[in-house]
Amino acid sequence: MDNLKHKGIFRYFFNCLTILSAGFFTVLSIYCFKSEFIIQSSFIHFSFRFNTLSLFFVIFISSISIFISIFSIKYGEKYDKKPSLFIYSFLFIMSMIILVISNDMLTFLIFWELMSVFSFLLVIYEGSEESRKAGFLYFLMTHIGTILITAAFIMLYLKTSSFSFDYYKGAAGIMVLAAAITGFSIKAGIMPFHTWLPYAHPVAPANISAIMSGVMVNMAIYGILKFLFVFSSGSNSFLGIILLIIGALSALLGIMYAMAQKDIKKLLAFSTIENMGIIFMGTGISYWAKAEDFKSIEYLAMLAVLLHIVNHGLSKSSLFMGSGLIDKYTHTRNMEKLGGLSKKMGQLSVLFLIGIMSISAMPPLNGFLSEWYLYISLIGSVFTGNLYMVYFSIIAVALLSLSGAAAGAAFTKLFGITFLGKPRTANAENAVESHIIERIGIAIPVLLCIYIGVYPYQIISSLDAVIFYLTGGTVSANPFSAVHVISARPFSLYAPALIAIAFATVLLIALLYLKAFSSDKKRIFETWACGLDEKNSKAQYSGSGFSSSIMKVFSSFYSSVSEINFEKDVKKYFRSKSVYTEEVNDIFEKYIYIPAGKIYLKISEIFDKAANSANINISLGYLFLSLIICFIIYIFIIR
Amino acid sequence: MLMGKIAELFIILILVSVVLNVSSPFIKFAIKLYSFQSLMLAFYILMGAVHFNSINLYGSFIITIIFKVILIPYFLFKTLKKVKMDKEIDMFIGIPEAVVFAGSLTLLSNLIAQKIIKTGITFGSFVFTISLATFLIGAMLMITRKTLFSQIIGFLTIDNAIFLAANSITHGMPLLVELGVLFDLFVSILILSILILNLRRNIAV
Amino acid sequence: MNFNGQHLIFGTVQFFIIVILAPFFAGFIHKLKQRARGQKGINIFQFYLNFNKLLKKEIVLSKDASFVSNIAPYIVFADYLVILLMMPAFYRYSLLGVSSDVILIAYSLALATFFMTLYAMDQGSAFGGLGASREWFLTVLSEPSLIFVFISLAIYTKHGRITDIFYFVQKGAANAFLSGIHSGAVSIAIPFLLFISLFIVSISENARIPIDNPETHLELTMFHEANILETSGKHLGIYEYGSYLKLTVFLTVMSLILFPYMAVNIYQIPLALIIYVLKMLILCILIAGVEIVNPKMRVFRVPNVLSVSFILSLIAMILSIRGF
Repeated sequence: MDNLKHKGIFRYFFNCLTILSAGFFTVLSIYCFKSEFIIQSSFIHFSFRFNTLSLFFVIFISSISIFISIFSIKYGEKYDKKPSLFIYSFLFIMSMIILVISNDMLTFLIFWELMSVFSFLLVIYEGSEESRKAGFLYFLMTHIGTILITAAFIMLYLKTSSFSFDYYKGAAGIMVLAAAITGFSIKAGIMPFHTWLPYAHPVAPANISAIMSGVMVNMAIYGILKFLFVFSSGSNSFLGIILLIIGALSALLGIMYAMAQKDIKKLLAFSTIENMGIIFMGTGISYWAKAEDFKSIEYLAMLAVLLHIVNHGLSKSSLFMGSGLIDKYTHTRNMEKLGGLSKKMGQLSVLFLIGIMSISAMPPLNGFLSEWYLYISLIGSVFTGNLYMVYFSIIAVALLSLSGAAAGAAFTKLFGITFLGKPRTANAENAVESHIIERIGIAIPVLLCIYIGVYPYQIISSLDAVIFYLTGGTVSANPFSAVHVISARPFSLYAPALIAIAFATVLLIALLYLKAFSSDKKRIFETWACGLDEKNSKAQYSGSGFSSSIMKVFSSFYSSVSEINFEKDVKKYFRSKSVYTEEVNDIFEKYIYIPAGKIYLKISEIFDKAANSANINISLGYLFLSLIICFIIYIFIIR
Repeated sequence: MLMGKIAELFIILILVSVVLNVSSPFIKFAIKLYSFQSLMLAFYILMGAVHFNSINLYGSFIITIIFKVILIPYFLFKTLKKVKMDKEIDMFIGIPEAVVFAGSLTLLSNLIAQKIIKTGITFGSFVFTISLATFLIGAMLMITRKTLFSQIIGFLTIDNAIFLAANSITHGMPLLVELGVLFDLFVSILILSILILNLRRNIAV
Repeated sequence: MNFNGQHLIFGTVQFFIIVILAPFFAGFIHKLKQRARGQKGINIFQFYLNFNKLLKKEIVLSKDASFVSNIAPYIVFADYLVILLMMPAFYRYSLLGVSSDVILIAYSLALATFFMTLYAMDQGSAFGGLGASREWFLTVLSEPSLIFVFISLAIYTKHGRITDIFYFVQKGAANAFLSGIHSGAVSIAIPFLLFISLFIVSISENARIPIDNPETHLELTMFHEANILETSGKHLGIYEYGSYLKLTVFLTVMSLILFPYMAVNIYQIPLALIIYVLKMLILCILIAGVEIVNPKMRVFRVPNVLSVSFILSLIAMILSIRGF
């Protein structure tokens, strides 16, 4: 068995099994569209339904899982010693796929819990101290979220006396929605519940991080879409405004913290928080427009949300896979130790560059398309003239534009410090090119990014069906002429194919002109280093230096501590070394979570002393006190 | 209507000058901005005077020019020279944060003005918005700056804003009331500048 | 909007005229500055001669450079050309006018910055990182103002494409002047505030004093120049031409806010062209004036100025939503 293990039998078997099962479920969903399955035995009752939203999510999860499985066929080599990774990841993906087709409260909760448990096992897979701590925090927070979601479902059950989703249409009031949204935002990593995400995603193996960031956080969005658009009774417009503002703040804070990171995967994890914030903004606008009956904004914002889910899934999973390859071939995740990888891992750097362009919303790729739709929805909601929404939209536009620019800065830092320049340590110097299968696993989502960016007509017409299911209307026949809300005049137009063709044409003409009129001579020489030793790779910029000026302007977000230590009695021209330490803290963690944790521990200590004290009188006293409190609750509160 | 648009421009320049006041750390520049602001207020009063042809407003225009544009800044400059303070103002919050806060105060004053319109009272809502915004930003200047000069300038800005609001709702106050207000202002400035000469910087009165 | 052959021909003519005029305006600003300093000054057409000379020189690439150094200059150049394809300078229809959304223009400018800073970091020198870090510092602070300016224009005129926006402003202003100003659709305060805000953003993005010195030779004082420190030959020529094109983009938008006059048919084109060149020269004189009078600012005072531009555009946006 051991011999087979080392040859990778588990790896091949479970990855291929994942690919086949994902494909199977996709075909099954398409074939059984709009029908319902019930699996029933003595006390188990699972019911599934394949409706449009489920179909969309099944295809989404399946495709990304297929790409990641192709990637991990070769990448998983280093995990062959402990092959439980592949088993758990297969079960993880399956639980997510079955989650989105479940039609029943119990089914949903069971598979939600299975998804959380498997992802927890995967987070602590590496077994290091860091991953144990991250896993514990993740486990705790996801279960707090599950409790809130369960509470929401129980309230729905009390109202409709049924477990099945079919009876929940229009039944959710404000309390249910509030509980559900809070629970789901813990899973999605929205501020202020985001603390687990930057710990959990980096410590998991890279293919698991890719699934978690690209797919699992979208399960929370699936839940929110279902609650807000199918279950809700639809008259709480301020809930939409709250979602908008929380999303905008998460987007800004997420990317601000991303700029301060030097761990590649932690930067990508904070960027996930930013993109989830953008999705929340779109959901908020759409729900507000539904409550206030502005149909065209509702459809357009919903298109922005769905398109951003797809775009973010594709680009973030490819970036995480790329970071996994960097980790595998250079044995470090710290970008301050890397550099110059574009010469050693050339093809990977091209794919990584396109992924970065997509996620920082550069035209003409797909990231820009979904962000453009979000801007148009925000402008549209300004046109409605609703007193409060106008101002919140303006604030949201400001936060969105700031986070867009900061995303460009953070990802320039990531690509520039990791891939460009000179190698900073031996780790980077000894990197080798990755295997072709791993690159294929990354190349497919990247090519899809380009395709969706340049020719999105196909995917938008497919998303139309989902929008119809959720909101009862479709984006107009030409979705790019974002329609003015008040009149039917087209407000604006973005034709990605036209821009791409123009770009290519202009590039061609410029190249021809240059070929004709300029010389072709080329010479390679060393970089100008003011005459000093040019082999010193430490003379390059470091990651913290790159982001230091922006961090200084926004210093209120970062409660950072930095100090320089050097030998004090030596004059400054003769010192041999000095040590610079910088520590950036998440302000939520420092001011809310850690004090809250301390208070909780103190309270637990009191109860611990009470319940386990050696003095029998105190223990009995507390026991009877709790009994009397239960009696009081029964008498006065439950009627 | 062209006059209306030009009057709009003057009022906007008042708000612009108060925002520039927030964003600049120099005391001399702040005093010059106050003088500019009062000049814009005076021109607004002049346009009102020409439109309504009322002698009250002409007098008000002349009084504003003499006192607010020329005399009070002159006194402040003299005091500044005698005290020999540093050129820069100390503040509790940084400038970009202060500017963002000023922006949110402007949004807030616009929201208040829109709400008042909704209740059906018709009035010069544009001027009301700008004067309320100037008032709030002037108050913010008073609160978040440490030097006494900033607090004086903040106080004067608030006075300008109230003057602007009053002028937009009525057609100018009776001349006597105006003279009284202005003399009060002038005397308080004199007292404050004397107090400054006897104090070190950053001690709030 | 019927896009027929006439629009195609004159749109192309407009595009080529703007592209060819770009180094002229930059040279004009440079000459004004030098004259004000008491120097004789370069030839106004010197930048064309510089471009020609640079094209004939050889490229020297660094040992540490990778594929990014080979593709970045061309992508930046093509990006600025595509933005200029969307710009209506003196003719109402531009070649890409059908898809010239303002947010696309703002993000395309960010795309050019993205590739230029990647090129800088590719060289593996300290100055590359310095230039890249400072360039993104300025972009992060000025991009909200730029987007606010564009969105204020979009809300004020209820159109999203830049050709439609300025055509609407032109029609409104023409109506107001011809038939007596009684419509509330024309405002003086909003374009005034937008102009000041956009002016400050232009100075920041085009590397002008008081935010950045375009003629400096000291590497530690460079913002924009440090990115292209290692370029030579046709790469340098393309980058410099790209910076002239970027200046033209900003000056064109400012000139349209100042006085929008775009030709609708071919008979108005000569007059529109003359007015366009005059407006641009006035703006060049304005920029040169600001550059001459001010010293370069300390780096961490730059956020103060850019936040002023942000709040002015915010006030303009508040004014433009008052109509609803």
